[in-house]
Amino acid sequence: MQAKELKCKVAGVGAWGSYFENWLALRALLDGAPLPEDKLKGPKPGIIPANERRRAPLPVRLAVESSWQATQDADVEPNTLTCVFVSGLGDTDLTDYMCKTLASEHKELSPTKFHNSVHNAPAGYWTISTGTMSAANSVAGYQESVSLTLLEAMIQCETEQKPMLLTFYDAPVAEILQPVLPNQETFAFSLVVFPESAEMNGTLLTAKVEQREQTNWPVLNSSCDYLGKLYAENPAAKVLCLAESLSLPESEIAMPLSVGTALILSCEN
Amino acid sequence: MATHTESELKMAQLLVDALNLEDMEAEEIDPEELLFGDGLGLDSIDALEISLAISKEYGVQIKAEDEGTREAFKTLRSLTAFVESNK
Amino acid sequence: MKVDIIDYESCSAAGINLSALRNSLRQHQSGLIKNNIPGSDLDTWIGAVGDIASVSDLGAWQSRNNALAALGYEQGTIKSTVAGLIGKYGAARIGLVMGSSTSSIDRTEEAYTRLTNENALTDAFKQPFVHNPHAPALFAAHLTGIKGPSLTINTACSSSAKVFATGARWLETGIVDAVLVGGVDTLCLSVLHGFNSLQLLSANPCKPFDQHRDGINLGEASGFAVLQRAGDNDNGRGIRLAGYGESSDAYHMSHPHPEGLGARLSMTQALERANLAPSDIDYINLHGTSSRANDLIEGKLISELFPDSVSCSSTKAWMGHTLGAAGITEAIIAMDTLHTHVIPGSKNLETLDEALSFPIKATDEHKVCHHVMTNSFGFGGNNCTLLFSRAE
Repeated sequence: MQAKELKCKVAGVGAWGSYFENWLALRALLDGAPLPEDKLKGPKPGIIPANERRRAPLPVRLAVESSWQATQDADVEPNTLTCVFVSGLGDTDLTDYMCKTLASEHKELSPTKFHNSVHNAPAGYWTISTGTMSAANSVAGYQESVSLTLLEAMIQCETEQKPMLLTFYDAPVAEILQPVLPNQETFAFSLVVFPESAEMNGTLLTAKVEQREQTNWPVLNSSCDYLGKLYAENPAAKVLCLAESLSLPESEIAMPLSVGTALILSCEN
Repeated sequence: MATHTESELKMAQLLVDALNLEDMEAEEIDPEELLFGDGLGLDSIDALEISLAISKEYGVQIKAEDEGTREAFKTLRSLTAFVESNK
Repeated sequence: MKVDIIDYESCSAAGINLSALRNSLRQHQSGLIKNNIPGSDLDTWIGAVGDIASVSDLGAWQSRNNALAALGYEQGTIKSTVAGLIGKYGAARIGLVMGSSTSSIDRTEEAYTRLTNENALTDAFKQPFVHNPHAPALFAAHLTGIKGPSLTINTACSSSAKVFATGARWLETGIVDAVLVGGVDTLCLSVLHGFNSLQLLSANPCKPFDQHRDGINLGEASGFAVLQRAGDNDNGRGIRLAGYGESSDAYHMSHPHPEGLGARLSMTQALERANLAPSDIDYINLHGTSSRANDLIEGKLISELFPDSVSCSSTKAWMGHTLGAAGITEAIIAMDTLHTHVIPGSKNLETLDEALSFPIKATDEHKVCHHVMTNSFGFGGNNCTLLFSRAE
């Protein structure tokens, strides 16, 4: 069977990192604006009910904040969206906490930390906070997290003809695991996409899977050192190559997808 | 608000720390206010978290789901009294 | 579009392969034993796979989770089925979707017990491909030679049910010609002590839906299934993925929705997608963890949604709750009844919960099944229902 071309329209974008609190600020950095002097603290998304927020670890707060922004940008009710959340590294602070505790004499774990340790915690908090009862997927793709998630969500958007929320997030890695997972940066990015048939403006994304033995992530146009480090270290931040393309009239990028395939993504504005 | 005894204040601090109660001081937890549901708004996972903190701090084991301990979890006052009498 | 299941295999405490599993089910021989996991003194029962220890040559890929995946992949005909498909379509035209909850945290746990004096990982544990949540699919791609898109789904206990939905969608768009879906989760201290912290572990063999049930038993398992578009194969197993439902509770991270609204949605969605009525379903393999909350809510839902002609059971008393591998393990038990015509009884059920009234029996039932269903519900309120039919 001939593979279908996968198409969708970008209706909204959200972003959060140590030097940008939304998509507008990230786009300014990508366009060459100087880095703010101070790192941001947070985020502390107001959409999470206080009772849940006090329990929400950083990856959850990152993912929910940028998801919320994207739904606001797209002007859609969050609970109408089917979602896919992805992190390449997971919540290593909780991994670190559990492994340290379990290696010690007293192995009692915090029940809250344990239930937060599931990879789908951000998807769970998002659905709880917004009353979303539709499917909430939570996936992992290590260094290919971004391309795999784009593929997964665009396929779902195409086959089910439903609007989707995609959220990419990765938090700094706990010290002991740094030598194997060297990420010190904080990043979250979200897209709300609609099926191509939706009557609306927005960047048209077209994706196809191509057989290729070796593909490297494209070089960023931005020369900002901070963004370069973020792009290199943080698996979720690999989406920056797409973020840059969202402002261009027309572009095509190739992302590594698997050992034998690449995801070819074209953007039209 | 009812006044705290010293041990109630200590227990209130344990709740604030164990549950990461946002922007809340131990003194602000009314000893007679309901901890769960309409009162402070705690839920089942908080009960388990409190059980763990109490077992570490006081060496008292509480099975959160037991009928018998449900009364103990009602308010800060009843919880403190339960722990004091089971130490 | 129609999707066929052309091969499947299961590896758990109830049987190292499908044939052994069928045997355990027929004999009502449970694989549960008293907890003997090193470093854990918890008073509970577990479903451990003894043969995992024989897989110790994985080098940089070594972890208990990967070892169980490798052991499972050696069983039955799965490996040769996949090799055949790679030969026919090319490795890049085969997709891979794995479900897991623990990924390889067992290995990270072990690494933390062997840190250097400076609190650093020792060389044997510097395994970036293992200490991350995508480890199961990374390893399975390495193991199988599959070069197409390879994804890991981590939605706790619904993980390896959702792999069927994702696999079906991938086939529908034609980006691949076949998909190997799988699930793998292993016993480790994180889950034992984690579920203990939630006061959910039973000190006895679990008794799903029983009035006197007092908690769950954890287990470990791996399972695989091969999916293809109908018509692209000789339909070796005669089984079709007729429908799936995926939903969220939007209620609580670790407590199911009290009225089971999310679970209801995933079941009704699966029925709608398959274009079937509740009365068409012959057998439901329930999530049935043996926790007080899950079984009460799920049991009530079944009596609300399905007529008494539907046979139901939970099979968790055979191998325990295998978490991220439970979805595929129970999907396989459910779809296998389309072959064996034997519906396993709900093992360890003596007295049905007094608050429940629905057709669940402890004894096996012999019946020709046409449509079967299975439920998987996970933390975060993540639900998935699968529906399989005979492909006639």
